Amino acid sequence: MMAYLTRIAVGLTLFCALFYLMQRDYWLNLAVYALQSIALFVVFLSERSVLLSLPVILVGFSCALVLFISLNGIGKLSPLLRFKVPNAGEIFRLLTGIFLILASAVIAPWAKVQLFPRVDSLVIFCGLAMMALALLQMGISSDLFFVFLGLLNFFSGFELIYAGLEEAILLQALFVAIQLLLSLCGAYYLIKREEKRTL
Amino acid sequence: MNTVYIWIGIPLLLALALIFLRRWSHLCRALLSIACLALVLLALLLPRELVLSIGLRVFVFETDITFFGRVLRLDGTDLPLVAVFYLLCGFWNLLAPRWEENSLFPGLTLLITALWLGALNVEPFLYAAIVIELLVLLGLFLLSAHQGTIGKGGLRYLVLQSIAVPLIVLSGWLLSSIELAPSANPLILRASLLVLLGFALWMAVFSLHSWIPMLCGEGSLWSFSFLQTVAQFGFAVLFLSFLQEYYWLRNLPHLKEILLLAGVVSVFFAGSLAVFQNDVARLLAYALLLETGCTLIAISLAQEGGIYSLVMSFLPRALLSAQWSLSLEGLSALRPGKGLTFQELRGIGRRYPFLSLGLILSILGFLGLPLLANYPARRNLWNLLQMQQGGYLVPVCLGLALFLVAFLRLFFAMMRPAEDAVYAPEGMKEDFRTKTLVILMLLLNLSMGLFPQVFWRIVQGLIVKFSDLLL
Repeated sequence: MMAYLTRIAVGLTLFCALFYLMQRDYWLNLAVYALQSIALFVVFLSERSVLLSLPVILVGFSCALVLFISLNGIGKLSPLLRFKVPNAGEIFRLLTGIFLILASAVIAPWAKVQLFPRVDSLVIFCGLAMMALALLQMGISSDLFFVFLGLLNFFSGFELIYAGLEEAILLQALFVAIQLLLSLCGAYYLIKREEKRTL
Repeated sequence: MNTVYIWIGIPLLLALALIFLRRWSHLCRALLSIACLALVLLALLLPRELVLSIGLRVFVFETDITFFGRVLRLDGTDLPLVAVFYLLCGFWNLLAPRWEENSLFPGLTLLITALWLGALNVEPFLYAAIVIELLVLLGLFLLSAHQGTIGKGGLRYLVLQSIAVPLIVLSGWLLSSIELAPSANPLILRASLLVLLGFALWMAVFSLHSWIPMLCGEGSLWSFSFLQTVAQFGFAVLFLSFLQEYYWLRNLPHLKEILLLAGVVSVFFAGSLAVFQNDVARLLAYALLLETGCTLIAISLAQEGGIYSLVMSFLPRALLSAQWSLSLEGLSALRPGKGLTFQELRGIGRRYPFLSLGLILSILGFLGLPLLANYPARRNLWNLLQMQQGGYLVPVCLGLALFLVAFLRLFFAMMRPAEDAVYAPEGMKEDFRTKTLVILMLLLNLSMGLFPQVFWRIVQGLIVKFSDLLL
């Protein structure tokens, strides 16, 4: 049962990462980011206890909330969800993202044997794919919001892999602190950029 | 008494206090300067055994504190390092030009300095990576304090420095496995690759340096030069600590060649790219890349004596960086609305002779010209390179020559008469404070070149910390 749940959670996590690689809507992306943290929590359960996995949800929701409040404050959230036909750029990003996920699937078994024998290969695959998608996101976007979202994803992906290697609570706490600081930084600069633009 | 509380704990608290007191900028700078001076003097004068006798009383300093099973240690061999860090912090705050209006500057610089010391002295070292990520975020705040927001350079800086964190943390985990099984060669190779890649990202070695020129044009150059100087110093010391602690890393086959090649390539491309620049702020970025290249060459030749050259270059590099950024900040402040392109700098040699002289001598200093600050260290390094790997001198000399061409382009632009040929209004001339600062830095620049042994005494203690690298 847990194995099935983990597979579904990995699928959902990667779908979310692909979604905000492709989409450029702040509101939707924040909702998807919060959803991803729930899926990540389930994936973390295969490596850590419930108590040690809980911070993943808390951090995910806190980061999403901080960014939501900031974006809402500067009027950057579109009020209505509307369907749009994907443009060429979005299709390109989607295809590149799928390619990276496939590449991660190929690399994951090798990484398990050579680097992380203690970690489940599904978790390695999920972590690697998240990091690769985040790197792509940071590489192709110069929008503050997407770069910070990419950074948060990058650290989440790494934390996922590292969770199977070491259970140091202090290190986990520091990762949580970094992610919260990154979201605060992102929120601060988003607000400042908007203030500067309106001046 | 505990050394960690004295040089890390108290400065951290003071930094937070300075951030809250930022309204009173003069008070903040005065407090910070006094604190830095006291910390530097204490670090230089305290015996390395950490036992101080005053009359009949004997004070024994403890060296470490334990925090959740992790150790923060500052022993006698770390004191020269502490002295150099607080010297840099005090120097940048004491000599801050009047145009530097960032009220957070004193607090943030002290916070950054104390955290750097924490990162360099935490055990196990993988926690250093997390602290350095924190430092990157603080650095961004410092850089963006003027404009309020960050540009593309700032974002790229954040991204590239953040990517290094997982690499170093993973290498830390691999290193713990190697300690248990030292003969496990594949692990050594993987850990070394991760460490090298992580440091290449942190130190902005050639091809990973793109954020430096971008960042140069975005925020305050004075803040940027402080951050880069402290970071270059910190990363060099951290890398040397790695080599010192893990003997298998320094004995890795071809490590020296890899470091040497990376250094030579960085020097060559720093010159090659500098020659195409039309903005003197971006030229500073390539000068810093040149310094990174020299650092790598010195580390690769550490065993043969390169470490002396590296340690000798720490203070001159800081001075030249400060001198360059002071001159550019001055020129920007005195010519509001004008940029720092060669075209816009036409005729400044005649209008602003002091700032121009400061700029010229700082660039020549970076190139290692005789009589100037960097000359003794550079002379030592080039001699070593010639003795050990003479062939590499060709691309290095070519890189330096190209940088000299870039300097000559700037020099001719500065000395040509300005197009408008109108003298600057009275309020827009170099004032007494500016002239004094420039002259002070010029004198320091010349003193470091003429009497290197005086300044060597401040940093020579660092050699003791890395004595194994000479074996």
